[in-house]
Amino acid sequence: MENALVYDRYQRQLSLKGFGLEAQQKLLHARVLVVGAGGLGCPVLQYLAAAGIGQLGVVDPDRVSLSNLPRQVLFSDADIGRQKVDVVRERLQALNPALQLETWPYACDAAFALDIFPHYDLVVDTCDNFPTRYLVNDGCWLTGRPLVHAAVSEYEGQVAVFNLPDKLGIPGLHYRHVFPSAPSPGEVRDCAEAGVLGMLPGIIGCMQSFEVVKVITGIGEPLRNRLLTYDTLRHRQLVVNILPASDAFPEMPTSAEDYLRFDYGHFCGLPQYAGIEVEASVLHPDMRIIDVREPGAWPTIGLVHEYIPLSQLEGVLQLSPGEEVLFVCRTGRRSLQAALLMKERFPLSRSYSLKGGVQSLSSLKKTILP
Amino acid sequence: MVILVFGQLQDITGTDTLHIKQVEGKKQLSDALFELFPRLQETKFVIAIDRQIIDGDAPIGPNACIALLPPFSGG
Repeated sequence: MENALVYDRYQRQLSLKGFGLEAQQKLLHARVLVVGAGGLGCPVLQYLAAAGIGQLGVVDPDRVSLSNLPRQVLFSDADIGRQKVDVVRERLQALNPALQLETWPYACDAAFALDIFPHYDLVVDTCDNFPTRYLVNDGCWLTGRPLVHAAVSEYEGQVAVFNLPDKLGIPGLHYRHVFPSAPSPGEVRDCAEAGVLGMLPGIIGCMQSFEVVKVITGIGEPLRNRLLTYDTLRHRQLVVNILPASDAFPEMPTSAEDYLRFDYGHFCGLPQYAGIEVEASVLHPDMRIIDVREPGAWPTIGLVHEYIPLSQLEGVLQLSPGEEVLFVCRTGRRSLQAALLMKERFPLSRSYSLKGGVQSLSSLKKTILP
Repeated sequence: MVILVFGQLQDITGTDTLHIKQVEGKKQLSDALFELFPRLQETKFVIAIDRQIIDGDAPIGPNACIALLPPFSGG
């Protein structure tokens, strides 16, 4: 970008005491990877793009749904059903055309972390589930990337900076020094179950993006080895120092090979098929729907779809890479078998099973599909 | 002594601020908490004493600032 434009655009940041041109140059040269374009990801991406981060990467497998809109403020009503990272690209490029942007419309896994994390200066965890949080933490530790962590629950949020070496090069602590192992499923309710007001991830996401700026530019004191918990209802705020846990972490992968093999779903107590079983709300008009019940089954689906009974599926169905298919049956059990089978045969396809079966579909289809 | 309770742990304690009898160390504190709220035993959380998360047992002074912090998953 031309210097005159840089001065104009970032004039308020350049004139800020303790910030100035040197800090702005650091932002303009920084590469930041954001894992998750949800409630936290939206403000983080928006403010980092606006502040002049040179390169942003965004990885998120989801499409925009109606219930995202009260808190994921990058998205509009007209974006429902679109891949989130596509909308992010449009909005951020419009906001700041000089921004370099890389997007991936799938979930961050170990192979992605090993491949992509090293190309970025730091990683921002804005995901919404424990398996990904531990995966991102361990990936940052293995690839030596600083991690700016945040998470929310009901009216409260947490922010921390992990894995950041100090000025003497002493390595930072990581998430497992606070929480060595994951809670069991159902112990901690996520936003979908517990609910959330959009301003909370807005506030916490802004705090998180501020930490990113502090780490990159060296201003102030980032929350290195510290955990901030903020309670918006009462304005209680607590910052605690994390001391190194004396135990080694037997459940943490220590090599790339271990990491690629480590089952984070299992580690967090989830069944193997997490991510394959989906709610009816993920449905979008382009999705191929296949009923795997035997012909003549009841109730009917009432949507455009194909019938391929589970018993014939393997010989009949071919899926191309990236193709999205939702398998449906009465209860969700046969469709899960179908999705697992197709996932194994066509690993690059995206096979899903409708959780709860036809019943859950009929209650939602009126609002989701035209 | 006063204990600040954060996150969904409040569903178990029923309050954001607990008042309990003074104890001398972290181990004794968790025993007392588990007796008062048995469900805490099945829940992941850390005890911060005077704004420090310390692994293992640690002494607790008379006016210590105690907080119970659970992990959050939402985003």
